[in-house]
Amino acid sequence: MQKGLTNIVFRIARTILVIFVLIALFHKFLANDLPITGRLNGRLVFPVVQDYLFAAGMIKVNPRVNSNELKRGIPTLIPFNPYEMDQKNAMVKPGVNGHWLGTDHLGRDVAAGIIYGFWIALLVGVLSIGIALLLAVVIGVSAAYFKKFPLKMGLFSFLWSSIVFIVGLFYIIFEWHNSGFPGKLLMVFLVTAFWLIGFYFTVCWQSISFTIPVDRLMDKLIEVRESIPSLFLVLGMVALFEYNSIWNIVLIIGIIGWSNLSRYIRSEVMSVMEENYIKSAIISGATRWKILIRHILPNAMDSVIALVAFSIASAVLLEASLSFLGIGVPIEQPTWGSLLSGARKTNAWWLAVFPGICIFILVTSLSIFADKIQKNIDPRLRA
Amino acid sequence: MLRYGISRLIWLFTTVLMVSMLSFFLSKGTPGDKAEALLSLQGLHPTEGNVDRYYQEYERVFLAEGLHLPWFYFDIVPSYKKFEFPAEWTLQNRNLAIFFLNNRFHGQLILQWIQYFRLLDRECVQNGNRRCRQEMAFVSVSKKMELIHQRLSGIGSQLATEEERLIYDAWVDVHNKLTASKVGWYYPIIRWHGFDNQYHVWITSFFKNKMGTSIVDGRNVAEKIISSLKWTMMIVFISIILSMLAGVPLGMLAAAKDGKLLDLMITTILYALYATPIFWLATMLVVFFTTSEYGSWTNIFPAPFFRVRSGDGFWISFSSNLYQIILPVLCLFLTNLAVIARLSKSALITEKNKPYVLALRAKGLKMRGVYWKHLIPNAMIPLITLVSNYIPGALAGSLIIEVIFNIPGMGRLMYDSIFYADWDVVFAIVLMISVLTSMILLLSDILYIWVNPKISLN
Repeated sequence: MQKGLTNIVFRIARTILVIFVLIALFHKFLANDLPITGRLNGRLVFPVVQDYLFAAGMIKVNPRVNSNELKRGIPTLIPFNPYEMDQKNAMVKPGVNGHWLGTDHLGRDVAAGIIYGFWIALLVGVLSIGIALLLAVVIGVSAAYFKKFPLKMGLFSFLWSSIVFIVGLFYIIFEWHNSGFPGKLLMVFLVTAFWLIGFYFTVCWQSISFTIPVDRLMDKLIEVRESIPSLFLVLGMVALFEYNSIWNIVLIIGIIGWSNLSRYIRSEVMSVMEENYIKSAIISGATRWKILIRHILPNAMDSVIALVAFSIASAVLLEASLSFLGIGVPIEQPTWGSLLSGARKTNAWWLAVFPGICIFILVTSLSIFADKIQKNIDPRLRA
Repeated sequence: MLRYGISRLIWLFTTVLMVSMLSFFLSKGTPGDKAEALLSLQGLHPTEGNVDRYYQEYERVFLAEGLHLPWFYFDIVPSYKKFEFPAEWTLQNRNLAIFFLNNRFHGQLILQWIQYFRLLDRECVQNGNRRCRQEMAFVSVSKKMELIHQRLSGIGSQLATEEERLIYDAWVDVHNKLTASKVGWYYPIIRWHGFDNQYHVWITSFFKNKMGTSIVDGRNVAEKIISSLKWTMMIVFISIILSMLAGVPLGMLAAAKDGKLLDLMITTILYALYATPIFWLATMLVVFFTTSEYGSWTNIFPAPFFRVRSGDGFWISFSSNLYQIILPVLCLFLTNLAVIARLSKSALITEKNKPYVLALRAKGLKMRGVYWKHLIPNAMIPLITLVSNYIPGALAGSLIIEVIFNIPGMGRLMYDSIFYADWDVVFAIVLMISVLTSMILLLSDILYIWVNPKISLN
């Protein structure tokens, strides 16, 4: 009986996630002061589509400029813009004056704000965890891989690559201001190329070689990162940026959020490397690079998706905490966290309930989704 | 065991060292001029009063705070920047000089340029020439060479006296020389500064109980942090102990009744609590259960009104705010409960699926005996690590709770310091928290080995 129930719950969670993504992608179609279709000087126009293009910077003219001359066609579901302040309708209760979920203390529509919050949550969740996953793969794989296949380097190539690294970095930093895009690209390319030559020498001459403890270094990196609680580190890093922007938050959470993922990938790679097929691959003469790409990575990564779902949930939570505290996220940007913080100032129940429910449902669905996947992958839990 | 402990301590030490470097360099990346902020605390502003006195005071504070020292033990600089900036330069002067250096102008000329800039600035203040000063302020924030050219020639029309004109002409002369002088080829040089650097001063002050000065009230940073740490420790430990007392039995009960209705109920409630972000929980409790607006029964908790009178000791203010502590501790308790109960459930289930349970059952032991004699003691061992790994998360939760309920703990201090741009406090807290976290993790590791003889120390 329980198995059937968990299946149903899983399906509901999956459906909710799909709906969340759809709402996030079509947020401007759902809540906008512009109509979906309209007639401007007798011509059929799609102002919401123009609004999307304007937000992406593909057209220069804001479609709101000539909205007075616009003959309105099909309206959106919520005919408000979450950025639009309406002092006459400030702190309106749900259901009054067409505001389904009320307004906040500046008269901004809560329903529209929540819809736009979906988009912010998707942006933060997917993009930042994308960055984090990239970092986690590099760090986790090298922490485990070099334990089994130590990185041996000759004295000459070690000196070569360290000097090239330091000097190259030096010139890149000091020439960065003075060069255009091709120049920057050329610099990075040249430095990387010269650096890699050092590794080529490693393959040729191994007379006086010693091991570089890459695995230990990566372990240390993971430990250093984990010794600072994420929220504190994010708050410290937000200070580095001159302006508040959602992209900064995405970047910071991406740079910070890799530690759990990389620890998981590290342990997965370690267990995969103990398998017999890796041993037979080594015996049959496959190169290290080929073993890594063809055998270790695909087998280690297939179960990482569950943890990615968890990480997305925690990234969304972190962003919501930040915007709840009012740090890092622009004040005018409606997010679930900033709407919730309005409840703290005004004690309005509709500001407390609705955004919180959204966070709650998203986090619950993501964890149900992740739990189910984890159970499917781990045979011990399946029983 | 001792050897293991010592090696772990060394490992911990290196971690703390790296975290301290990280937080130090993060603090160096933050905007703002600390000396200026400290001076404005004394009531001295660059725009009013005697500008000579201001410059003198600026230099004094700058030297006293050690801001003239190099950042680190060594640095790598291009060969054309071999000199140090004079201590009396303001941050604006320094930024301008760095901008010129990045444009690879000649170092000696940059020094002269800034000296003339400062001379004219002082002259204008003494003559009360406000418009000239305004133009000069624009020059120092321009980030493009063309803009500086433009604004420099604009200043020429704002001059009032003959002396100003003289200085201005000399300045323009230096400017023309400067723009003509481009450093061509350059190479990196490594400079060794010894122990006389800002990082060393900062990190050794950590042991001397003085980590710089707060720009909000001029107090010692370490003193501020330690007085706020008491509050954080108090609420975090009260809530963690309470939630362990409730959560471990609850989770184990759910694991023992795995698949039954009771388990389903407990798990669902825990799931709901787990997915409830702490700030939402706190907001909901404050909005609905501190007023009688939604019915007389909802006025359960006191409205959040936390107050600490200055001069009161910690225990006096703690006991006078005892009612106020209830709600924040409840929020932390519920959030921790969800995590700890889930962890203990999964720990017991992992134990339950091991083959020795079957052997014990086959031997004829009743399930009750298996639980009390074997499963629960064995499940407690991984729980030590899991719960202590969770403590950093609890600290982050307490940050939000402290901000919501206005408790003067570490999180609240950090939050306020960010708004005041008091970076010394912010990054000292980051370091403090990470030292605390790594020490807790180390203790848990040692405890884990101590209770679990199966672990080999190699």
